[in-house]
Amino acid sequence: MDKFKIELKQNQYLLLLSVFVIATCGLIYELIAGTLASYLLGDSVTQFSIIIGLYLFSMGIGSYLSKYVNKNLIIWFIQIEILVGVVGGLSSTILFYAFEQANGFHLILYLLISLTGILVGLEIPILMKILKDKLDFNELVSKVFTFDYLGALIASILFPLFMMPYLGLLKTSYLFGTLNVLVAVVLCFKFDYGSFYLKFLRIQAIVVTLFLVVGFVLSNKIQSVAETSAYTEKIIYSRSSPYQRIVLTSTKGIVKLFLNSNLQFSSADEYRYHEALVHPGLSRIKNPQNILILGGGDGMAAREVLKYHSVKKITLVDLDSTITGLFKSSELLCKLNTSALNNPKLSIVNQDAFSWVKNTKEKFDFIVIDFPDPSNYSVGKLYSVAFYMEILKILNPGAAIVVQSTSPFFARNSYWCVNNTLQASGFNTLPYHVYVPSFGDWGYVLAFNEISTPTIELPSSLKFYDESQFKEMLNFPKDMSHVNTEINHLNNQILIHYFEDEWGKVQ
Amino acid sequence: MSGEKYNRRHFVKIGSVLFFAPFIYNCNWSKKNNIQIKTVGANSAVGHLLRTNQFPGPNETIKVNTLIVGGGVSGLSAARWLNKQNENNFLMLEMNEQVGGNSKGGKNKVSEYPYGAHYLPIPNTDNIDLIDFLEEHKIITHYNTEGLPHYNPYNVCFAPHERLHYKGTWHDDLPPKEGINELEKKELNRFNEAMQSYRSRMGKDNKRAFAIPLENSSSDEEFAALDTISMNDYLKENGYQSEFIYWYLDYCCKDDFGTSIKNTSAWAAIHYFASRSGNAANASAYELLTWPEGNYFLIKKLKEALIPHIKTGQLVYHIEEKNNVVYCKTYEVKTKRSVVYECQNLILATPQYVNKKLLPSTFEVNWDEFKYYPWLVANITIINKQSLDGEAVVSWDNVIYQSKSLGYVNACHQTIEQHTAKTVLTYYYNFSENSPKHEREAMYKRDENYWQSFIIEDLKLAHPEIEANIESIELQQWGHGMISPGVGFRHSASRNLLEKGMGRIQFAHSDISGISIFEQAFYRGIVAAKRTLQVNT
Repeated sequence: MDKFKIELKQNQYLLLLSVFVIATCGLIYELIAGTLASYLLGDSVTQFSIIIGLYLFSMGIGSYLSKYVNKNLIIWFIQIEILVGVVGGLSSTILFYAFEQANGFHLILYLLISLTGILVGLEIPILMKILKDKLDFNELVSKVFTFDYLGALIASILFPLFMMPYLGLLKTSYLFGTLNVLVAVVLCFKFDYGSFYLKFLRIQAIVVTLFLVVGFVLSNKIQSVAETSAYTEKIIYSRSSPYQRIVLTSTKGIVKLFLNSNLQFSSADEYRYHEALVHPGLSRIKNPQNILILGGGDGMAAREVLKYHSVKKITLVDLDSTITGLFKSSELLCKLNTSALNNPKLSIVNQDAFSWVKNTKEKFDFIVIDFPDPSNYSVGKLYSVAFYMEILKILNPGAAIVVQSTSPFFARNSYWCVNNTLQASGFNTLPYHVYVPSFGDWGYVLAFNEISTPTIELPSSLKFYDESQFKEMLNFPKDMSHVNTEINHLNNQILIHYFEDEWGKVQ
Repeated sequence: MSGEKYNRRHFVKIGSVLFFAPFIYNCNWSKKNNIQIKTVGANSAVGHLLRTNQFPGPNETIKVNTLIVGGGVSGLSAARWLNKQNENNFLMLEMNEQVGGNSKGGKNKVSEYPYGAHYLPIPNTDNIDLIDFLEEHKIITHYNTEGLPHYNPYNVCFAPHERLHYKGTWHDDLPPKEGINELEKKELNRFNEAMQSYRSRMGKDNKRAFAIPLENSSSDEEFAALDTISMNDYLKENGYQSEFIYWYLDYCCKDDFGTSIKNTSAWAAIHYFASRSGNAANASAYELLTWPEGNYFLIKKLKEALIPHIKTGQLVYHIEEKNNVVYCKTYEVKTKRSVVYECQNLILATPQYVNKKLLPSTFEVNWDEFKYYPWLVANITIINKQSLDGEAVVSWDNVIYQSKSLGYVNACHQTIEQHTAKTVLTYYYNFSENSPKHEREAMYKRDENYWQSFIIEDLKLAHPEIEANIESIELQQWGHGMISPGVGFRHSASRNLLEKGMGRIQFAHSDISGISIFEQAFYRGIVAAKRTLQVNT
């Protein structure tokens, strides 16, 4: 022990320097948590306020707990140092990840803050205990707290001016985690008094340092995957399927579904969208029996189709089994689609729509085509002449299809391109549009394989749609009336160019 | 409701990346050794038996009216023609186990892919034989009211067609419309206009200046003069300055003919741009037909009706004509014995570097006029296609400016599926810096590991992280690639001699036309078959 005491005396400035590093790191972790919380959850005043409070309170808990630590002080100090480094270094990564998982983000955030706070709270008292025999009380208090607050000042200046702009959240937390652990590395090599546990600490410190350095190097990669859009509503479900990112939010009882951060429906007004999607067409089919829905994995279109008692069979083709599974099993969502996906008349096919249509031997009376907007080459194929020609082949005589066709207001060329492409494929079209508050003015194209004068039979119990509505829906004001466009073929994909031009301006 | 750029980032599971980041990092390193690489189509092995010329004496004679040697496009086209004319007494001998010549193909779990040619340009409407063939196989589905052919939309190359990696980013189209400077744009426009004008020019002989088949082109001096200079000289003489246009045409010459701009006849290079005037109900002249397995698709269609006539693994090693009968000594790879085929007519659909070893030395042909540079074709299976997107998404043809390769074609481009993570890229490299012999020797000296790093280093120019994204590589080495139309090729005496045929022997390979395109091989096969039928009657 004598040897250790000599070392300690020689190294008191090293210990004081570590106070400085610890203080800087501690405050940085707090700032990172605050920034991330306000970045992901919004409402920065609340977030920062809660986090600062919780952090300081946790430091208090740490300080209180320090009274139980009286032996092997240096060992404890180094161990805590390593722990703070790990927790702090990984904090922003963990928080990004936790946010992606949606459930329990708050809990994880506060647990992390508390843990960091407690560990940092333990550090200073333990250090003071280590130094208490080496310095008189006056000196001790003055030196330790000088370095402590100095560190805090440096941190609060560095963070907004250098760390955030040049390194970003992930790199910053890895960097300071590493610094924290480096203090432990230096200390556990300086104090060589042959304890077995010290040897273990050395290995631990080196491994953790390497781990954090790798994290620092890789953080660009991590950041690009973790980038999360800021949803303003409360997220109740969020998952990445192999095909898309699914997020459900709920605010004041209104449920919204986002796919790849694009709004798919809001329970406040989805009935307008789905009634307008299904009824104008289906009510014009005489005795409809066999129905196909392409896309529409949320089951809302199926709910509308099931209102026709003549319908014997519905086939719903949606690539993503995560979506159909969710809307089949969640109680909340089954309330929205009235359990349409569990209806015995309905069968779900989780396959690619184009190849399914190309290969099916079945024929249908009515087809609902509710694909995502044509924003890329992949989806664009589902709006092509080749696809519509395949659709024509699987229709019974006197059948119809309806195609969701983006907004004729925001994307006039795109909308009419869908209409013109359907005509070029051999359909007789009936374009119409409706106002859906969540989306704006939205367009559909109803298309028939024969010219007919249908009789109209509407189910009762519709909230929005009726025939007088439809007359208005057929009317296009001057700013979105018909325009000539090129035809969308697989070898030109002109529609996605129209779409990019038009929606690019809106966003 | 848009925002595709944003989506792409989401497909990777974030969790795994975060918590196992160090391990993934390690995986990336060890991936290097996990790429499966193999070399296919070691067809040179059988062919190289010709060098030793030690074969067992024939112990059987087989008589046949017409014998076709070589099962590439021209041989199959000749056979198709005979078959169509109800001439059934013919056989085709192919050295390899697979027919197809330069249009062979392969497949793995992800996709089919070509070992050679990848596309057929929309044919000129006056190319009636070819149009008929495409109609026979429903590649042309019907004709519109104006009589224009309507192509199967799944066979016409989907958008986006091409992209170029230039100055650090991907640009749509090749040549790109954006990202090049004013001088480059101006010169490209001027070049296009010049080609446009050649496209519509007619000679004094009332023939098109540049036609397909090229034998139908005008022989006017003005156009013939273009065969006396290289494409490089043409650009210089016409005052082109920008580095880009020289690069672009060098790329085109290598891609189409396997030679650099300095070794390609200007006539041939201009023929590429000025001969195509294809017209269709649903495609323009500049578009093309393509399939995952490239032109092997067309080979399979050609083969369908001919299977009883085709014998593979047959190496013809000696040909002799006596008293109007042609004797072809043939070695059977499987049984290791030899057979003599005795025929009235022989259609030699083999390239001239092979013929030179088969025919007696009395033939007064300077075989060295026929030059074939070596090629490397690699089919690379990619784990995540999306990660190869950039400012422009993966297109059918993807070219990298700084690379000496010809870039890669996405074999899965014609898929109608929404989400295909994996894909196969067909990567092309043409070795034409030095003499063909020198390049060939250099190529065969290298092993698979060398080519693996070679390809990866090259692709890293545009895709720095591609290594971890590669599942497997399949190499195809072509010791002799396509025929290269050097300066003066149009007026080669040897070529003209072969074109006419010799006695009972007709030459069908496209190399006697001097350019290696499907249309040309298809045409030469028909010409040879027609002459054979004339001799018979």
